[in-house]
Amino acid sequence: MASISIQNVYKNYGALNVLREFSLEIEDGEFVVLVGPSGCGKSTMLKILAGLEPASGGRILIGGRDVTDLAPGDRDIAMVFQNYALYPHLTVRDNIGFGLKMRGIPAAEIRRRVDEAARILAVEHLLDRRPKQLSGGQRQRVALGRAIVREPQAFLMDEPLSNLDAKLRVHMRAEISALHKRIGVTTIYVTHDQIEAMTMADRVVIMKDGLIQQIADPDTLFQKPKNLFVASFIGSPGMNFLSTAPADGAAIKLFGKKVPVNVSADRLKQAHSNGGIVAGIRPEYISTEGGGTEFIVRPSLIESLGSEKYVYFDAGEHTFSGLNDEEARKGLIARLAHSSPLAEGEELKLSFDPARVHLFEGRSGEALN
Amino acid sequence: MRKRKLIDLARPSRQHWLGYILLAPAVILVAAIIAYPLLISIDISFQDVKLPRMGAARKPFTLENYQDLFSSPEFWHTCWVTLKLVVVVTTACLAVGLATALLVNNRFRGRRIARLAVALPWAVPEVIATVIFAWIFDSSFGLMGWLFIKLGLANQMVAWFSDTTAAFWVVATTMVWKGYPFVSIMCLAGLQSIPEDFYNAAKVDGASALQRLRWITIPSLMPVLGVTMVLVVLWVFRDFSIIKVLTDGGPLKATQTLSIMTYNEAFGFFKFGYASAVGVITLLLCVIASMAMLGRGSKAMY
Ligand SMILES: Nc1ncnc2c1ncn2[C@@H]1O[C@H](COP(=O)(O)OP(=O)(O)O)[C@@H](O)[C@H]1O
Ligand SMILES: [Mg+2]
Repeated sequence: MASISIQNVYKNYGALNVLREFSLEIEDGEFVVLVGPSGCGKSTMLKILAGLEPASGGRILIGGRDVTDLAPGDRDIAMVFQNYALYPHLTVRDNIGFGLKMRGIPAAEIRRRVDEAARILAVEHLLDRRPKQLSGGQRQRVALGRAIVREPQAFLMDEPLSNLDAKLRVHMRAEISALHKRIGVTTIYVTHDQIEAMTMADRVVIMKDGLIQQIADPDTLFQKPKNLFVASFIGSPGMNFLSTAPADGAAIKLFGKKVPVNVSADRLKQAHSNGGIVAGIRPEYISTEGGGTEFIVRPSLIESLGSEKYVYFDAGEHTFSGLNDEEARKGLIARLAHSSPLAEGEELKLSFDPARVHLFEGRSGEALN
Repeated sequence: MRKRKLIDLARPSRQHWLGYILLAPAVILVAAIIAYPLLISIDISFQDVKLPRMGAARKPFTLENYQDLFSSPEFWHTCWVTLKLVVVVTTACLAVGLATALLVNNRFRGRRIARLAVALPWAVPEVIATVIFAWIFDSSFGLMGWLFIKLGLANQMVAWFSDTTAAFWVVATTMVWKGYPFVSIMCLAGLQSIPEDFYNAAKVDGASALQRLRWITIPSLMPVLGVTMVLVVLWVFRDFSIIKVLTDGGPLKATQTLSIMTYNEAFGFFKFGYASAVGVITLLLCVIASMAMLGRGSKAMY
């Protein structure tokens, strides 16, 4: 187990800047998740960390030791790959013991450690099979077994659950978290799925186009997103965005009402001239109970999920098209616990607490509050 | 109601008809040019035929050809030469082919040219390649003799084709040169289908380049290598032109393989019955050898 320090690492493929000035300090035993849309450089970062790709610049320390130019095998890390990379010609036992064998550890010791790892992951009965004869979840466990049997300083995992079906993914997610609690090895986990990031991480690193957007624990990320991208990426369904204008004093105009906010009037004016003000309200913070700012809508679509309802309605004058067109076209969503019947096209009174409103500057996307 | 077609191939119960119809010309052709001569030669091998003629009366059934064959030292010697050649050439082809495939599978400048160069002998017609090698190993002004003298391995020009051992190795060398590109191309295709993450995982696990070759590359190539080996073995078994042009089986029948013997008995001594017996035995050996190798190969994988 060890701390990991990534200092100003960047990576170019020719003229393409895949990673830009990536710095991250990871504590001993921490579970850090790198999350971001596909192509943002997560896998590249992990490969650089593993030594499978050279960095174009910067330094990497594992347990205080500079490993920037060290061979992957000398870094004392283990990696779990998206497609597991299990060798089809070896049995599960030989697959798990592969790393130990390559390091010349005596056969009896390998046997003992493989048995131990297999017991932890409940794959003892599969040891004599070949990967082809295993289900997706079992292969996933074997791949994990190959990592833990080495007792490395750190685990690197690159989208390890993305080949599993939805139900198994939830199950394995919990199992990986439990495994981490149990053996406590520093883990860096890459995913494009924000739910995985939120549920598993001690700390989440959100990336976009090779740049870190925010590093924070899941709660902070949800409550205080640093910019529009983070706000839109975290949460399901995503945050509602409304383009708005400042009212008199520390307040904004929303649905024809004056909504007080904890941002100074000057700051609001400045943001307004800087690409406009964008207000963000999470679907879960819109309710039918009244209080706070109330407004009337005509739902265009109502989806019932049994325990809750998703109410879609038009943003009208507040339509914000800064993120992408699709986002703007679907309108706004309220997530209601309301169980009485609601009808599409019928007037509905909704409300939100002004304290729950996030404000962003239009051009830079930076959060104002 | 729509009129029913006479032969409606789209009917579920007739789905397989189209396959047979499309296959028929090929099957008929193969039957005419392979199966029919094969049956004829099996038939002839059980008769005392000197020179067969169409429409000639059948000779009585006899096992004489086979009895002669199995009691002839020449036949056993030829079997031994064939076996030696098969083992030497196949081993060398696999080794050289795999090595060159590994080489040109790396990323480097000029890789396309290198791949082309590796495959080049494959494109040279067999007879031309053999003639070139005959010149290279010429006993009075061949390149190889000159090279041996320059390197101090010999004092004077080597008479490659009058020494039994030397002649065998010249034949083997020529066959390897002509045969390895096939192995190389097959291996290259196999190498490219090995997932990059296999190597990444092994690197993270601390495997050296040699260990990666031993534990990932070779096992992953096994299915390809197995099939390739069978094809190379069969090629060595049946190849005729290289030996015919280079040594014609000599000196002292040191390079006479079963296919050369078949030819010599038939068209040299006009003993067609006897030659057919050799041919049938060759066929049986090929079938047995390939079945043994394919059976083992497919069981060993996965
Ligand atoms: N070997 C390479 N050569 C050129 N570009 C690459 C290479 N590998 C990755 N990239 C590019 O780098 C970017 C980041 O890739 P990657 O790290 O795999 O993203 P992800 O976050 O989806 O894992 C992508 O735009 C990809 O096209
Ligand atoms: Mg990736």
